[in-house]
Amino acid sequence: MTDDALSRDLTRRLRDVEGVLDVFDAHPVVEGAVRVVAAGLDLAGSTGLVRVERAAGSVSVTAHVATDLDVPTPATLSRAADALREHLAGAGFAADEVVVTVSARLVDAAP
Amino acid sequence: MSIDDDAPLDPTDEPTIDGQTVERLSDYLDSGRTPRDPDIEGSAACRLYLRSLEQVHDLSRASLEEAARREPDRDGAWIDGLLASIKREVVGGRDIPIHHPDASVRLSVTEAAARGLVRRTGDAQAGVVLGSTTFDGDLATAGAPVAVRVTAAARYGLDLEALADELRARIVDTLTRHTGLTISHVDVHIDDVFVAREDDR
Amino acid sequence: MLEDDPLLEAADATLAVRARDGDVHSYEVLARRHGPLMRVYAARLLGSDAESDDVVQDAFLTAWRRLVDLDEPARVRNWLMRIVSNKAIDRLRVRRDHDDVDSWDPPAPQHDGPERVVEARLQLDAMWAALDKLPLDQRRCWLLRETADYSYAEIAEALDLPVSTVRGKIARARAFLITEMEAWR
Repeated sequence: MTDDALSRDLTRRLRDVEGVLDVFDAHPVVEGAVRVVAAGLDLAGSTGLVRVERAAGSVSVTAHVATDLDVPTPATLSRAADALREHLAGAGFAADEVVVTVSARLVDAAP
Repeated sequence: MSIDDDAPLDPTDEPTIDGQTVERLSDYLDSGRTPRDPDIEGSAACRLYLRSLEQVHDLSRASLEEAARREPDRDGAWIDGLLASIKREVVGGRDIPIHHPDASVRLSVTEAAARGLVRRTGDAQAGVVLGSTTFDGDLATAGAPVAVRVTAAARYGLDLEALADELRARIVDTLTRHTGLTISHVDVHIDDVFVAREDDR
Repeated sequence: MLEDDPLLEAADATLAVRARDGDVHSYEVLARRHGPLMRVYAARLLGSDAESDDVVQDAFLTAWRRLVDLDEPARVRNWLMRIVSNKAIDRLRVRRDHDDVDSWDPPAPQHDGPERVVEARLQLDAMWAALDKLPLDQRRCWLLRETADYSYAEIAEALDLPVSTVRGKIARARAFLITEMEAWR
């Protein structure tokens, strides 16, 4: 599975987490534009927004999210991290290989 | 006209009004007529000319503003494009760490998100429009005391002390709930007052 | 934008500090509030509408990035006028470097006849027409000085002219405008 495919799966998974309102692109700006072009996709929504970085024996995922004002953000972030770890375990990554970073960039009222 | 246009004005050609050059009067007006020049203020002709200068200055600006008011509302596309670009560029600032028992999990709330929370909280309080928000202290160290400073505009006629107390409480509440920060105190500075509109909350 | 949005009535200073803290919505209110004037002004500086939209958008983008440097939030309008002036001047420089002739200057906007009843409006129309009659370079010097508060030295540097020439152009513009407005009265 390519990193971008994994990223897309993780992005979709995140959107289902209670308290997560939105997912932002965690890739650096320029890199983001290049990725979209490279993937041959012109819909921003169909690229992965979770940043996946692999090194020997480890994978690091970074997610930037908007959280719900009506739900305590620490709990939401924790749930989001759990969801990502669960998915990665399901994808065959050992728990001790995985580092997960989730950052709330915005806390907003649900639409 | 274009041939002479680039040439500097010959000083001997410069019109004078009661001995004052037009340029001197223009500079005098620009400086707000201070320090007061008795020769100029004592001359009716000079004062009249200053009034003309003022008028063309004001009218010049006003004619642009009027044209702007009459502009067809083409706002749609250019604003949306602008805002889309800008949203991509919002800088997060420092990261406020959120505790998680597992060392391989790093959770955080950005300083920008925290500011947005404070702003939203302030705006939600009746009679308050939040201004600026600043966090003083080490945001990156869990448990380190952080002070919050805000400025705000308040609706005219409200009890400012009660308003500030309520705002403080709301801010502490929301920051605790969403960031886990240890708030040492909240400084509220009301620096503007607005008048309620008829349909205000 | 909702009509009962309290930010619509907020002072420029409030909007500016909120935008500086990252509030995109406050910046939107600022942009809608001052954008139209900046667009009209840029069009007058450039001599056409063609590039004015670009110049204004560019100005707002730059301004967003520089909000942290805004020392006096209450003066954000003047600050924006400065930035859009610089952007327009950059365009003029590009044209000059490419030996482009100044674009055709459009006539004053047409206004509906029956509406032109209010005397104040008539006077503004007269000023608009008078500004239109100025040669483009005199108008530029005039606008930079009177609308954007540039100093003579700053105008000279921006337009790549000697300061004495700038003084001369402004003096001529001033004399012409005063005469025009007197005649109207």
